[in-house]
Amino acid sequence: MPRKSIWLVPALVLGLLFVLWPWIGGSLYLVNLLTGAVIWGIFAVSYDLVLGWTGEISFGHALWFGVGIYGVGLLVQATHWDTLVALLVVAVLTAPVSFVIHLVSLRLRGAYFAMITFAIAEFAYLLVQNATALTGGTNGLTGVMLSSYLLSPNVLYAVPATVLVIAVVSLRAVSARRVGRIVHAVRDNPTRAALFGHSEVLVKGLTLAASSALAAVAGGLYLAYQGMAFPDAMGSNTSFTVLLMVVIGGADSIWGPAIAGIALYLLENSLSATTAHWSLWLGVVYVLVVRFLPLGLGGLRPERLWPWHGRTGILQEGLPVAADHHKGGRD
Amino acid sequence: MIVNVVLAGISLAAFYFVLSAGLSLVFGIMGVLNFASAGYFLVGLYTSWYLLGHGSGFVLAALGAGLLAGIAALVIEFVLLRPLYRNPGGQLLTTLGVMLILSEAVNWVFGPQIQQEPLSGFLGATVPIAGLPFPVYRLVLTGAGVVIYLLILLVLRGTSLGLKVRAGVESQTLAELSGIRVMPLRSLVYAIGGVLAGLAGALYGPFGGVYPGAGTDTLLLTFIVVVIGGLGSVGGTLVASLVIGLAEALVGFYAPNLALTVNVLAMIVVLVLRPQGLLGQAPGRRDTHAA
Repeated sequence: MPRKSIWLVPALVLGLLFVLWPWIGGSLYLVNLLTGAVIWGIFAVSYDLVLGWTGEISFGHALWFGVGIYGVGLLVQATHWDTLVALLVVAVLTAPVSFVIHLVSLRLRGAYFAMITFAIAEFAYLLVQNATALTGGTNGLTGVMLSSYLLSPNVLYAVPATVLVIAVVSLRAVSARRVGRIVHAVRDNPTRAALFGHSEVLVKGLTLAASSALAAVAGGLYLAYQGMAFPDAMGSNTSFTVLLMVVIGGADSIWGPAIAGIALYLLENSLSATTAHWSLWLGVVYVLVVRFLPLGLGGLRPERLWPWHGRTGILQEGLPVAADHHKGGRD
Repeated sequence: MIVNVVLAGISLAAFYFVLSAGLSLVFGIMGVLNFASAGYFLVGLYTSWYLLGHGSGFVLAALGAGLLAGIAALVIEFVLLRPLYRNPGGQLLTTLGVMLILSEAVNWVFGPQIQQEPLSGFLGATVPIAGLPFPVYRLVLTGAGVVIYLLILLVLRGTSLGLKVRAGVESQTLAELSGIRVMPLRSLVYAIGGVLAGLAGALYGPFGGVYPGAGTDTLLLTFIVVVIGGLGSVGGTLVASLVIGLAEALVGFYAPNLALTVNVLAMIVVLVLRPQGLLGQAPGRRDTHAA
């Protein structure tokens, strides 16, 4: 397909530039700041799989971020494995665990799904906070021996940057293929998709499992970035923050949440110094986006502004199921 | 000793009931899980604290708190929620935003520190119960909970307005077909939800402290209560408040760290096994709202 191959080379160059720019020239401060931002970008992309791909609202996504943080931290402490190997192992193990938990959560939909995800995440948060002997409790998880190559700020940046590029590219590829279409069909009309043999619980469960694994990767990288972690990193505020990022970025696109995650992290870290009320303005922008731009900033494409444009986004139509229905589909 | 723990649990239950009843009613008629309730709670908390600090009595401060929180809820419903009423997901996301904005606004205006709310006169005193001093305020709290429950019951069961609200909770479509104008009803119930959250805020100050995080701190408990009681059921909310209040007091008495964990676990079990809650309607009987 010639049209695609035209874009291949510039895209490859851009991707490499994104990963390798610290070696070309970047201040330590900037590299360090962007590392955190890119990790939040990965986390936002993982939440896009929940909000944008399954169409369910989860208020407990921080749980999977925490699984990554504490999973990698405790695994490295116990085995002294290479950090990235531990990260991979945790991510691979997170997927089936998340799948099983979501088989239970997915018995509920709408507001009830939102509440059970919130409750399970809070439960895990309380466990981590109280299991002082294992996790250090509120004193934080410290003394994790990270692999020595991660001590280089450039490498510490390049790893999450690579993960983000791979995640965005592969999710866009999946989205255009059969698997992605099935996922979106299940989101938009679960009953019809079921008639074609695609079980709603199975499809959404697998999507959520992939999302959790990616969130765990973000969490593990966050631990590597911070060197230590506190239970609050997996508290409800983390869940709310990532939700705000994805809604503002636009749950209908993959670029939107990735860029919103990076940009909002950068804004927060540069603006908190000048305005103490960053969260207030973020909240105002978020409410306005929900009200006026249901597709988020990522939906601001010229053809979308055309009033007769046929396609509508998930949040514009409302979720596929009504909030007070806890089972069954829209039809 | 155990008498005091049980009494403390009942007073907690009274507070949880006031805090959760509005949330449950709002979900019943609007199908919206109202995160913003935590924001109206903060409005009430700080209004009563401000009024108390400026020479008002406790009852007047609580009424002012309820009034201001109710007005805030009415404005939010009209400006932000009404345009999204066919979009439950959007409404849910909006109420979360309102909660975050109100928490930050309070933080901005009054600062992050915990303010003390000293109670004067007999409210701040203790009475001996079973040989131990028991705060009078806890008894007042229990009384307030009972009065508010009876008021809600009176309105819901004894007035034509209550009949309409119950019809709207039962089935919005049938209510509309019967000639009930549901839209103003939704606004009214939402405002009442705000008033109840504001009153809960006023009641919380003297024993929980006045600080911007109070809204989110109590949010989880509200969810636990309404889920266990059944969203939309005031009677269920009362029963669940008693269960949770007593469980918190008793478990908390023996193992303080476990109290919340046990309650969250109870919520998860109820959600999985009986999502409509102890006294809620079976989900099959509900129609989708705004159909």
